[in-house]
Amino acid sequence: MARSIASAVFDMSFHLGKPVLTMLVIALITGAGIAMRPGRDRADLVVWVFAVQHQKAFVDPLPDGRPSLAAQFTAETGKTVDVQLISYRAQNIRMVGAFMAGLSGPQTPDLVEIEINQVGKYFRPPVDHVGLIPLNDYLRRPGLTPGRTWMDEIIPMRFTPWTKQGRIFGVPHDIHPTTISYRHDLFTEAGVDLPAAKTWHEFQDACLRFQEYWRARGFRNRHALDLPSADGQWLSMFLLQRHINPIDDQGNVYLTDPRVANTLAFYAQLVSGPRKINGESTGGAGAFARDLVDGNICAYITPDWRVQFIKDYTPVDEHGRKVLEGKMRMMHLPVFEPGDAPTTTLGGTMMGIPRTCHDPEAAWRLLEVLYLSMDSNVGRSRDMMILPPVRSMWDDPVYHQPDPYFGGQRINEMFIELAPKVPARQVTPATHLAHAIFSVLLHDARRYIETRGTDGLEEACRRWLARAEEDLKRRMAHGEFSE
Amino acid sequence: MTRQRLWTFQHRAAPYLFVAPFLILFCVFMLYPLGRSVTLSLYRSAGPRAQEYIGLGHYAFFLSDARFWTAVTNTVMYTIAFVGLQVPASLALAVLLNSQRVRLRNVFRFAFFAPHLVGNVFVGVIFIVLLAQRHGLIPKALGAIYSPWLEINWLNDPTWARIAILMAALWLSVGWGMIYFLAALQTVDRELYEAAEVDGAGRWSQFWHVTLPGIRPVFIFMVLIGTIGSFQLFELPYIILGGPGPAESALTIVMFLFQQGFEMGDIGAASAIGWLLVFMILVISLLQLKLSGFGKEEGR
Repeated sequence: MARSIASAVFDMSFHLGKPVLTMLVIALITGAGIAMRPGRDRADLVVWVFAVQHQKAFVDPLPDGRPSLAAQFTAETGKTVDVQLISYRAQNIRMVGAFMAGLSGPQTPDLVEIEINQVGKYFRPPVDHVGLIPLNDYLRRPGLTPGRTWMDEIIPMRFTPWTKQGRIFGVPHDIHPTTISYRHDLFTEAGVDLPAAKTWHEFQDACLRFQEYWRARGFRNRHALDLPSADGQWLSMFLLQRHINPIDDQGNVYLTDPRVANTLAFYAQLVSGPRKINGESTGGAGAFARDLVDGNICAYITPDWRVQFIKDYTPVDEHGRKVLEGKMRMMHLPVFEPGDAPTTTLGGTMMGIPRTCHDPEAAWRLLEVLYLSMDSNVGRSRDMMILPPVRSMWDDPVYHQPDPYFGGQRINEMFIELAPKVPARQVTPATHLAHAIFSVLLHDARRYIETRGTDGLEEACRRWLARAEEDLKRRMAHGEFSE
Repeated sequence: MTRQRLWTFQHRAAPYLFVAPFLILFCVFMLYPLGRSVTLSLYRSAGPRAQEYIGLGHYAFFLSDARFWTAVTNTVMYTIAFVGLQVPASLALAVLLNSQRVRLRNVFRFAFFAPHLVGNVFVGVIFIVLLAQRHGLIPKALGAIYSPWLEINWLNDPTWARIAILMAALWLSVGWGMIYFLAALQTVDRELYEAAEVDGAGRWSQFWHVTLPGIRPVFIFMVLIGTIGSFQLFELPYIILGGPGPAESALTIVMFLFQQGFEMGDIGAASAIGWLLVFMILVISLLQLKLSGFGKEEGR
């Protein structure tokens, strides 16, 4: 039978030729297949996340065998939940596309996670037209501790990145206090007590001594600190330690603050010239962990999210232990001058409810379960070890354990100590432009050092920043809506 | 009579019915979006509820914007380097693999063409791994020759980052160009070579006076397509450098457009940049066709 059909098809004459006939047949079959494919039923609530660890924390059963957070919500409310993992870049493009086209319905999520470097653009429209629902009223509801609201429970400065003109559009997932982790064994062997450095200049001196020690012993590619040489976002992180946001939520620009030129000149000397202490690893987290193990790079700036990330990529020895176990230590960030914060912050995520959500009340309840419940801490600490922004969660014993990787240091207690001191980070639609400017100026400063040394560097930085500020203001004015 | 009318109607309507699917799709997916993007380019936009008419404001702003001109300069520099290397390299490969003396020609042809099959994203990811400082194959190979080269920061140094993008683009497209030149070389009349040989022409002379004029239309096509493609460069730097690269060394026009649209959230500004790009490509293409004398043969 099959042979006779095939024979009929292939023996018949078709005036456009057999290849075209074959293509037509395939198109008809596949087209019919697609048309008849049953559509995927949309869950009652769809959540978009961009990090696999977040998805695992929401949908994997809890370690003690209890159902996942999503399943707990379904059991409580009868509403189904679909937590969709979408790649970081794709998610942002889809969100911008949805907001730009005014999409609603099944294509858009009911809850969405947004990363701190991406959130600025969502705040471009006049505040009433931002594509997310303001959450101020929801945050005034009771929190974990009796008599306290979520607004009281969450570290207040962590609302600033997600706020426009007093309206909070996202619940923070984290705080990301930042420290420095270093190869204790290698620094000790070099006779350098790194935590004794209390200022950045002392830290740079200590790192130079470390590099000299190892270079004299043939380790020419041993660098003290992992630091990108031309990434404006990292310069911004240093500025934040000095309580400077390049642009505040009122649209004021601070590039001409003398401390910006000072920090730019200092950063440039960390990454170029005779006082260079940095190394870079461009092959991703795996390559960086390899560099750390090999001793090519011996210290790195460590927001809490980076701890587990690097641990996961560290190879294990024949006993199944991480090869760096016991060799690492953690310390506070040095400061530039008294009054600076002993920490800063790098990265961050929020969860918000798009205006197109058909059931904001249920979405808020799900947000509470995924982000703010005590059980959310369980998944969070298992998969990420990221300190939550809710103070009452910090009493959980999981944040008070010694960490063998760091020689028994209670590193989460260090993060808890630093968390309230994390400076407020403000994000605007133009913050991304300020980072691009910093990236270019860092390159200019490095070139200056390589060709002319450090004399007059800070003054040159001041001139460049003054020009850049004018340019930035012009761009901001062009993009601004008359609210 | 009714049958006659139906036949007449069919006769008149058939051409329109045949072109209708294309016309409908063209109008819905090309003409309408193009028209809409022209309108959008006249607005400051952040979605349908937040739009402000600013006339030619975006065009005026970008034409006086240093960052836009940085993107144009980067794109033009890349285009010159890319076309200047890709076309000769493709031609050289084609000439080599057109020779009867080369064994396993088909294997080599496929090997050189294969990178084009995998696409920009795949090539981008491969190059990230190949160029990873200290760990990539290329730094390791260079480090074996001279140890400081192990530390070349391919992806974070502006000069090296540009070279990395160029290398990836060439790896992706030289084989593709070779296929076009191979096809063109096989159309050159063998008798012309025999006649040239009788006249005492050497290999170089034959190449210059017989091969090149014989493949001229394909040569012009390759330069044109290479130029247009280079002006649209986006995926490789976006994947390899994660954006405009160190010190905006890979800020191309399309990258700038993408930033305005999807990182700044202003689709109106992005549309304006898109139209400026269309205008630039049109002018350059017409200029190239004029300089190359394309179409004159048909007029003679």
